[in-house]
Amino acid sequence: MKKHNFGMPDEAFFQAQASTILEKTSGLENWRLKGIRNPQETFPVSDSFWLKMEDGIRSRIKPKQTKVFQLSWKPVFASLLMAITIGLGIWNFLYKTSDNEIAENHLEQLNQEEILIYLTENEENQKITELIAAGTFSDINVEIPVGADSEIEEYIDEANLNESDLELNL
Amino acid sequence: MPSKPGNDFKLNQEDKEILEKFKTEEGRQMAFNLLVRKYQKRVYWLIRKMVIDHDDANDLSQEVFIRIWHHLDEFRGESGLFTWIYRVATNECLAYLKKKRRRFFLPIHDLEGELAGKIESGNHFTGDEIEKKLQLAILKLPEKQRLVFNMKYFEELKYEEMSEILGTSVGALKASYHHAVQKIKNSVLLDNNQDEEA
Repeated sequence: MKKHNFGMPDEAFFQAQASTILEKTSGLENWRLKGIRNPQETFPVSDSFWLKMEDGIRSRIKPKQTKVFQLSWKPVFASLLMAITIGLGIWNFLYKTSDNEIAENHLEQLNQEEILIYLTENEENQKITELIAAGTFSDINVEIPVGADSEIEEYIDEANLNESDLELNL
Repeated sequence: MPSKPGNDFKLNQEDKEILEKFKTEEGRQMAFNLLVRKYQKRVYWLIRKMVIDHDDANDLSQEVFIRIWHHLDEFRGESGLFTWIYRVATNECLAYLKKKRRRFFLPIHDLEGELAGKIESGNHFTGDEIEKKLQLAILKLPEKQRLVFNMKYFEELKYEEMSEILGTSVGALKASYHHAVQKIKNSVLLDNNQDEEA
């Protein structure tokens, strides 16, 4: 800086001058003249704070290993999910059988005795069971039972039909 | 008082050495310690000016450095190290204020009033009356404009540096600073008039 030859006014002069300027202006930059300090000086912090903060940071970080290649869990998880989905698709395509196939396989494993036991236990199939018991399942010569004469007579009585009606219909 | 940023938007020799050490397993911890010691004050003050509360500023500063620890590997050296750190800090700070504003899922929260209360209570601020007025006027600015004002007025950063940090054009930053100054002037003048009337 170039040295000047003028006499130096004292500190009081500059303070008075600053006040005069401030009175005449309201510019923000003039605040600096009035001694506006940086917030670093106006927000209090204890002397030991910086060391405590350093310790705080150090205690919260885990030693980091230098990795040859970094494995991020997100792509690994996505790949795993995709592999499971594809696997399930292939399994479904190759191994899942239809309901009919399952029933056929199951029936093949049953012998005649087991079928008879099933039919015996089921009341609705009682008559069929009796017929089956007479021979093998394939040999049964089923004759549809026609009502006996007594049964026909009973029906006629219940329907309150007389002989003339029967003759007309016949 | 922390040193003023010089050419912090370019990678200097000291920072290059820190980064080199950080890449090695044996030097990593030491490099990080150097980084913390070098930048902790500037990070803290940047955050403190935004959140006012000391404890909040402390927590956030620690979060910033932990984030840096985890992501310094990703720093490519295309900007200055402090520019990068400053960017992490500003993002963390803005995210914190946004979260605090929406506390308890209520969108309207008088955060500025809360921060102003902290300044006025005197526990967090030791400045004189005029410094208090300035801080209260700054608090009335929108958050990003407050950041711009603090960076320019107190930190004396260059617009180019601010542009790197905030990802905003130099022109937009100049306009933002100009508006901030006008608003602060008006706010302080209004405050002074009210004082005189009282």
